[in-house]
Order: sequence, then structure tokens, then C-alpha cells
Amino acid sequence: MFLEIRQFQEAYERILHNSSSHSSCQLVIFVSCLNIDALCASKMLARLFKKQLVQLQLVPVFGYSDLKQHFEKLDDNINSVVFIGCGGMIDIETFLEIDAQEYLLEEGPEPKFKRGIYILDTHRPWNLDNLFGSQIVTCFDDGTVEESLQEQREAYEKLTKLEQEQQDDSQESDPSDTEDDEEEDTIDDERSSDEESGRKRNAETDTRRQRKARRKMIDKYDTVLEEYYSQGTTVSNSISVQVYSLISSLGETNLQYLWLTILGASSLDTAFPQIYNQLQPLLQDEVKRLSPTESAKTPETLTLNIQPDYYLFLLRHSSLYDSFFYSNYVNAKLSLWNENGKKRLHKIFARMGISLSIAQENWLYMDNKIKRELGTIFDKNLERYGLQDIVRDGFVRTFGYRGAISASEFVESVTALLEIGQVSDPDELSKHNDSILLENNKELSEAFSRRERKWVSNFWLSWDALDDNVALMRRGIKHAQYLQRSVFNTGVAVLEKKLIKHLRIYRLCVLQDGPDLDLYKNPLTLLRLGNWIMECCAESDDKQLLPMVLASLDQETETYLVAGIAPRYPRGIDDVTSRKTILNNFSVAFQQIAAETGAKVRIDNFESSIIEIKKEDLSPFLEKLTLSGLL
Amino acid sequence: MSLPPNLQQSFSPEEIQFIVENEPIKIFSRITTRPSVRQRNSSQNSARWKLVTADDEPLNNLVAMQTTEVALWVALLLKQQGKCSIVAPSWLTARQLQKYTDYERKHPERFSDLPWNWLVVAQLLFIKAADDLHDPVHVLRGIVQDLREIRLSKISQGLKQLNESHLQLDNLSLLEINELRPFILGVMNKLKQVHSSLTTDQDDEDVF
Repeated sequence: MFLEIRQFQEAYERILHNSSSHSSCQLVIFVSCLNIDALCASKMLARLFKKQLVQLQLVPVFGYSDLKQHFEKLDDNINSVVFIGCGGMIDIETFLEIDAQEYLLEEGPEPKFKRGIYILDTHRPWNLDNLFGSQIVTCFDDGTVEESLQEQREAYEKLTKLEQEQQDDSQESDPSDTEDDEEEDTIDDERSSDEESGRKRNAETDTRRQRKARRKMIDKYDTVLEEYYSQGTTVSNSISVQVYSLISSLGETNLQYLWLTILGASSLDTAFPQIYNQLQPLLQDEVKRLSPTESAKTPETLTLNIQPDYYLFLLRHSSLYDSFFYSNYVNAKLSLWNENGKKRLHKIFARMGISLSIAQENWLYMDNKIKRELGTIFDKNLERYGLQDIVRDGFVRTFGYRGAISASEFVESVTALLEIGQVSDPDELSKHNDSILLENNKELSEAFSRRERKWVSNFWLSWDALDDNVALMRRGIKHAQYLQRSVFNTGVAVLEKKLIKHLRIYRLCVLQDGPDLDLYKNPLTLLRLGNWIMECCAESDDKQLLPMVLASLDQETETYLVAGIAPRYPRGIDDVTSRKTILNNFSVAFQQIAAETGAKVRIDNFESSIIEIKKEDLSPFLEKLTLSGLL
Repeated sequence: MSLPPNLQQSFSPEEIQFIVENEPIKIFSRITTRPSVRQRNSSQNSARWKLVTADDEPLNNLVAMQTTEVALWVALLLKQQGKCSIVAPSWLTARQLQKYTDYERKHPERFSDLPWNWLVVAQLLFIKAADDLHDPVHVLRGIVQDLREIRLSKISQGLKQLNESHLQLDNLSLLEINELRPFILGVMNKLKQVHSSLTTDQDDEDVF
């Protein structure tokens, strides 16, 4: 089943109705734990349910196997399960081995079930079994079904009907009838002389023609579905915005919900700028609608306002120079990784009339005059370097007297908390891990589970950071600066050593040794590095946009973490929304090749373009990928 | 003992809050629970409040946008769900509090007659019902802090008067008493002990 945006409220009311009993917790929310958007959405939902005094259990999961494990352990009396940020791309009923009949309460034209499963996921393509086939699974759709899935819907429904018929037929007639057409033809020729059998044959040919036509139809619909599933994956919308539209249909909007929504939407800005650009005007309207009109700043004001925001890395929390130096966008435009680029940056500062010593100062303590005039200075000078798109409208939140932070900076901070977590001094991170080589499989799985437990605890840390916890947020910012510096260093090393191989259809980069290799065990950090490299590549060559495969070696488990990254348009220049969205083809390709070669591959991440491969299987795998022509 | 040592002699702040939460407070209801005449006649039994420790009559008689008086804990529970707004007590306004501070300043010997639960109520309402207060919270917070500090200094002045027999603490609130209790009681008990030995000595001298 699926729901349009207008019907979200019904589902909410159904969940509320089903789980508002005093006895025990009957609502479980599974959250994909390495996804900021899902984090924000689940925070909003949890707050909403808390206000209604509904008990709920929130389970962060990092991958499919974990999800299945947790799902199997669920209590019997849990009657609503919500998946946030996961589950949309696989057939939930088969994957979790759910027998719908088991939960049946009431039969009839509209059967009632004991347990309902709700999917809030924006990964596309949808699995059609969830959308049209299942009766306990309810998908929250944002209009993709109406807009672009009509053909697939028809195909799916016809196909299930035809297959049903075929089954019925084969049950009725004896098994010889289901043999291939050619074989039947030869048999027919032999006994054609007989009159009586001729009449019989007429009826037979009739049914056979029917069957043939049916098979043709099945083939036709099959190809439609095949095409649909193999087109590559993308993200269609922000989950937080979906939850926000649910909340606003309940009439419960306030600034806190809006802030979380903005965070969720801005987290998509790095990887899917087109979605953020679409959502931004809507969010701006909401901000204007909800902002209180207070003149003076008081310790209690927690206002949101729209201010010019820059594509600079953590401008409000570091120095101007550093934020230029470490920003992805500036890095790409100026090719900062080489000496020339650095000189060019200094020249920019000279032209802007900001002395280097001032630029090195922390933003908080910088000259007020420069801060005030920064917008005009940028306007005048940056166009010469193609950096004019550095300025855009952003959202800034003020925490009373404790400071202000923009949405993109907050997202950076939360992401860094998800990656590093509890460590107070990030420098320890690279030291304490002296790689222990593991011998057998048991220890290997132990290493995995240890790491995954850490991610879950990191999830709760960033969960707390969303509660206006300024101290945690500051720590996150420190982590983010550390991470960005090491990503920059690794990125420069990759570009200087020319580690990126240009294969015919994609770029390949394998990280085998390096000082910060331990950092890249986390998919989020690997994607951060991927984003940095992709943006640099997107600027440098204008001929073709190539996707990239990025792999990093994990000494501990002897595996490569491999991320497939879709190609990217260079930022700015002309309207981004007018371009076609680029789908990530790796998710499909990885799965197919893993099945073909039988390489030791773990496809567990919800982001299906991220996989883990055994050390020795990587090169044959990539060879196959190059030759497969799936990209 | 079954009670931990820190709870044996006095209340914990949470217990004080628990006591204070039993006091009545006025709310603006946002929901209606009063059954209409038709409902009453048909004796349709919908969900009713049935309370043991508090009066459930006003709760079953709520009408939206009418003030009612209920226990503070019920008010906070309803407020959390957005089903009522709390009417701030008359002393919790910037003007009234200012009057109290003026009084405190003018009379160094006396405490102003704030309600016995002022600190706890103010704290609870600042956190949970900040949007219902008439004056901005940061102003109120400031004045409450002033009052608290003035009274604290008076208390420390008053501690000079500690003796073995009695002490008069008019208008001191429960929380303020509670934080002083272990110290004052200890000192006074000791003084009493010393004093009693003095009197027994005198008695002994009389005998001889």
C-alpha cells in the first residue's frame, strides 16, 4: 500500500490509535543510523509521539542484517513498526519473512491486520512489492507514484494477475501441456490424420494461442519492471520534510520542528543539491511564517532567520582563511591542492583588502567592519575567480547569548559526531588503533560488531546534540574541523600521487596506505572524501561526467570498504534544477556482479552503493565491473 | 536503615517539589470535558477522570477557555500535551515581584510575605510554561534571582542569632528552610547540649 501526502494524517491517527494503550510499548521505530536526514525525522516523530504520551522504542540500525536481527526479536504485541530511512528498496515481506496471514485479524474486502509496517524512505526506486503487493506494508509516498510510476503500476498489477492465471492453468491440466511449443508441434504433426483428435486439437490450439499471448504479455511487462529496477538509485526528497508535512497537517508546527526539518534538508545539500534547491524556497516561506518578531536579543530568544550563507567550511567557527582553505567548493574552483592554488588564494585576499593576519583570526574576534562588509566585498571580487556562487541564502539559528549557527554548519557538526563520537581529542583516534590482524572468522565478526556498536552509541550522541545542547555541538564542530583537515590531506595526497585511474567508464581510486586510513572505515567519512574528490574532478574536466569508485583498505578485517559515487555537475554557473538528475548506477551493478562472480561481498549498508569486499576479491570484482557495461 | 542517610533528617528538593505540586493552580482549559445535557440524560458513560488523592470534580467539568482550579501536577501534565495554558499566580508578575524586592530592601530585619512555595513554583513555570507568563521569562528570572540573593544575605545575617532555645523565621519559604535545616538543627542541638550541661552543673552546685 502507499499513501499520498494528503493521507499521511490517517496513517498517523491509525498508529496513535493502535499504540495508545497503557499496558506496554507497542510502537517501534527503526532508524537508519548513518543518515542525518533520518535522524532528524525520527527526532521529530519521537517528539510528536511524546506529546501524545505514546510509548515508543527507537532502534538505530546500521544495516540490513542488523535490521533483520532486531525485527526478529520484536515482541508479539507490537502492532506498529516504522522504518525511517530504510526499507523502501527491498521487498520487506520476503526479506523479513513476514507471513501476512499470521497477523490477520479480520477477513473480508478490507482485511485488518494485527501489525502494520510503515515505511518512510526517500531512496528510489521503490520496491513495487511494497507499494502495490503488500497489505501490511504501508509506504509514505511523496507523489512519485502518481507522477512517474503509472506504467510500472499497471505492469505490476497485470503481471501478478497473469501469473496467477498461469498457475491456475498448470494446476488444471496435466504436466505435458506445459512443455515448450515446438515440442508440442511435432507431436501434433504425427497425430494430425485423425479426425476426432482434430476437433480436440482445435480447442487445444485455442488454449495454446491464449497461453502464448499470455506469455508474450508477461515478457512485455517483465521488461518494463526490469527496466524500472535497473535504472539506478537516487534520493527523491527529504524524509524530514515529509514528516514536517505530516506535522503541519496536524497543525502542530513550531520553530523546533522547523529547525530539525531544515537540518534534514540541508544534509542532502552536499550529495543531492537539486533536492535542496527545490526545498529551500518552501522552507524559507515557513521560516517567514513562524518567526517571532522580537526586536532586542534576549537570553531566551531562539530565533531562526534567513541570512546570507556561504559555501565556506564552518565560517562562523573558524577563521576566514581556514574556511576558504578547507571548503570543498573553493578547493575545486581554485585547485588548491597545488602550490599555484595557494598563491591564488592569497591573491584573492589581497584583492579583497583583507590582510592575511586578520584572515587567520577566529571569526568571532574578527574586525566587525570586515564582517559587516563581507557581502559587498565578496560581490565585488569573487566573480573574477568564478567564485560568485559562494553566497546564497541560508538559515541561521540563534541560541540566545550562546551564539549562532547556520544549518549547514550544524549538519557538519552532527555528521562529525556520527563519525567520531565520544572521543574528546580526535588526534587520539588515529593513534590508539594499532591494527591487530585477525585470524579467524569469529574474531572478524567480533570486530564488525564492535564497530557497529560504536556507531550506535555515536547515533545517540548526535541525537542529544539536536536538543540545543551547545556544548556537544561545539565538540562536533571541533571534530568536523579535524575530519575536514584529514580529508583535505588525503585528498591532496591522492591527487598528487595521481592515484585516480581514469578507466573508460568510471574513475577508480583505491586507498591502501596512509596516515588517516582508520578514519575511512566509516562510510560517512569515506563519502566525505568522495565528495571532496568528486567536486575537484567535476571542476577540472568539462568533457564528461564520470562516476567514481572509491575503496579504502581496512587492516583490521582485511576488507575494502567500497563506495560508488554518482557523477556530479559542477556547482553554480547555471540553474541546477533544469538539469537531469543523475542516478547512481553502482547499486545495481554491484549487486549483479556480486551474484555473478561469487566474490566475498557484504552488501549490508542501506545506501546500496556502499559495500564491503574481501581484500583478495577486489581486483577481479573491479575487472568484471569494467567489462560488464552496466554503467 | 531502609532510608538513605541523606533523606533521614530532611526532604530532598524533589520531595519539596512533590509537596508543592499538590497545590491548586488556575488553568485555561483548551478542551471540554463537561458532558452536554443530552449526554447526561442518555447516561452515556464516556471516559471520566477518577482521582483518589485530588478532587476530580473540576476535571470532569472543564470547558474550553474557562478558568478552573486544579492541582499543579495535573496542570503540568495537561500543559505538556498542549491541552491547557496555566494562569500565572498573581505574585508572579514583574510588577508584583518588584514590589517584593522593594519591601525586602526597605526592611532588613524581615522577609516579605511571598508564598511558601514561591521558589519551586517559579522554577517549574519558567521551565514548563514559559509561554504562558505575561512578562518575558528573562525579566522574571532576573527579579526572582534578585529576591533570592537578598533573602540569602538576610538569612546569613540571621544566623548570628542562633541560640539554644528558639528562632523566628517568618515568611521563609519551604525550600529555603529545607536547605538550612541540617545546619541550623545541628548547631542548635549542640548549643542545647552545651547549655543543658551548664544548667546541670549549676544544679549540682546547689546541692552542695
